[in-house]
Amino acid sequence: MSGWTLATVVAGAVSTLAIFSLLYKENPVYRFFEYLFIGLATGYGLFRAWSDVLYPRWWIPMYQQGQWWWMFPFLIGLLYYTIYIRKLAWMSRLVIGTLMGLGAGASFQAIATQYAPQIAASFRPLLPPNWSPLSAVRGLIRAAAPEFVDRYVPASVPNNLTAAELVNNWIVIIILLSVMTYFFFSFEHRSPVVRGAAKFGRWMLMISFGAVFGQTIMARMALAVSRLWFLLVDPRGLAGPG
Amino acid sequence: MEAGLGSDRTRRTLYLLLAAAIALPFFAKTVIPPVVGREARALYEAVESVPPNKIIVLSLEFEAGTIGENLPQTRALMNHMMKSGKRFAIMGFDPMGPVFGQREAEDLAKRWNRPYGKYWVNWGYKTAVVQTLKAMIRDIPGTMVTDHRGTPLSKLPVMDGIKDAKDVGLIIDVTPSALYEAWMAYFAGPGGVKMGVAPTAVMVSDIFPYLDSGQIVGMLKGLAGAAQYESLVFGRDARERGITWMTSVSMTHILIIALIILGNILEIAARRRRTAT
Repeated sequence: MSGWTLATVVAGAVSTLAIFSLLYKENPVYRFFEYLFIGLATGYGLFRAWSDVLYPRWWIPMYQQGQWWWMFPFLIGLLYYTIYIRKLAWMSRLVIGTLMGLGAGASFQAIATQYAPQIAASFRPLLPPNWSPLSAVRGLIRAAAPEFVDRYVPASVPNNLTAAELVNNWIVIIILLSVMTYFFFSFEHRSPVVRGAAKFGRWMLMISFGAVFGQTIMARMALAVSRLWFLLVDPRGLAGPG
Repeated sequence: MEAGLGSDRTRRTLYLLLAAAIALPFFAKTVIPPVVGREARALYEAVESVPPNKIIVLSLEFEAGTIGENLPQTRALMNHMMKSGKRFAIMGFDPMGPVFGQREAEDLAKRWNRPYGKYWVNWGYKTAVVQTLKAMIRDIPGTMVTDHRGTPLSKLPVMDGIKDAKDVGLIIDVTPSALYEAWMAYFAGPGGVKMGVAPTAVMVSDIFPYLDSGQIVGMLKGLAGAAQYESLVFGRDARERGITWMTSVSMTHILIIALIILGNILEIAARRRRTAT
């Protein structure tokens, strides 16, 4: 193990034990290392933004390759800081407005590509395979207009659903509608049907929160496992990027 | 605080028991074999189905705070991709993710003999999520330009034939945040690219609707997902990192359930004593 690796391993071990010291009781060592971690993470992020993005993609083209026009994004970016000067504060709104416009446009695209498929996926077949809900009605109409019915009204609703999928689809639709009813605040929930649906929706929400809480416990345990693995088994492997 | 169920001594004893439950499987010879879920298997099959002329993008968005889950997920995915000789690229919108990824990939490259630049590449840390993703759809080499060391991508054989989103066979976002939604909205959706997610366990419930709608082809559910994926790659009894760590987590769950039962028994007994007196 090289001297540098050893130093990172020791620093990692001391930091881990210092953070774990909170389990014994609140103490200044824990506080110090907590602030140290926050400061280091922020500083590291700034450094990487410069070293990986700004330096190779902005500074080098501008100063070493003669692409002087890269100065303009910098100057436009500086307008953000005019927010601190009352007389010039309107200039900051130019940048903020532009970015808000860009963000709104991008969000609009996200609605189409991210949420629209969700809405489409909530339209699920709820009928058993080859079930024709209107077969009787269809037969009556067909007596009067056979060509029209044969051409435009299907004899059955074909699908390949299994019984389990059918039940699953009903569960999804009932829970979806009841949860949406719970969040429908445009009118008072006076009707017993609406009140019942909203109450059922709330129960379903509580169950899902319970599942999230259970997952959270598992996540926190995984973090503890990784730290103990570092301390007891493989300090070099988990010392962090080196 | 006085001695009793809520005392400092009890609390510290519980922490020690928890530490022991975690540490025990590290040194045991056996593991608890994971039961593979549908989501992990679907992601495994999606990786398997990527043809040789396409690349897999592994977007690593995590920091040190979630390596307990995201690092085993990354390792399991890389093990599979290197074992099956798939080309892949590491990148991330978090500064630390690609660095952790590089470290894991370098370690596994020795195991599977998959040299850097031929089988895998690190595009490095990127900022401006929306702009980068939208640009990647049309021109990947023009958006990334160099790898994380500054080597032009045109000099790396792994990038041969990789031009735009059509050349990406699968994108997998390993993340503790909602960045997977940006990948879905601005790259996978518009680019018609298959997508998988390896989230932390806390996020799992939020992602199921995307699996149902087919926007995501598979998912690794936290550390459990990593263990399941490793069992697909190496077999159920393999002493890989994810499976070993998940055995520790299972032990803590057993301990917690036992303590909840014990706590309730003691509380009921105390209540009866109080009623009797």
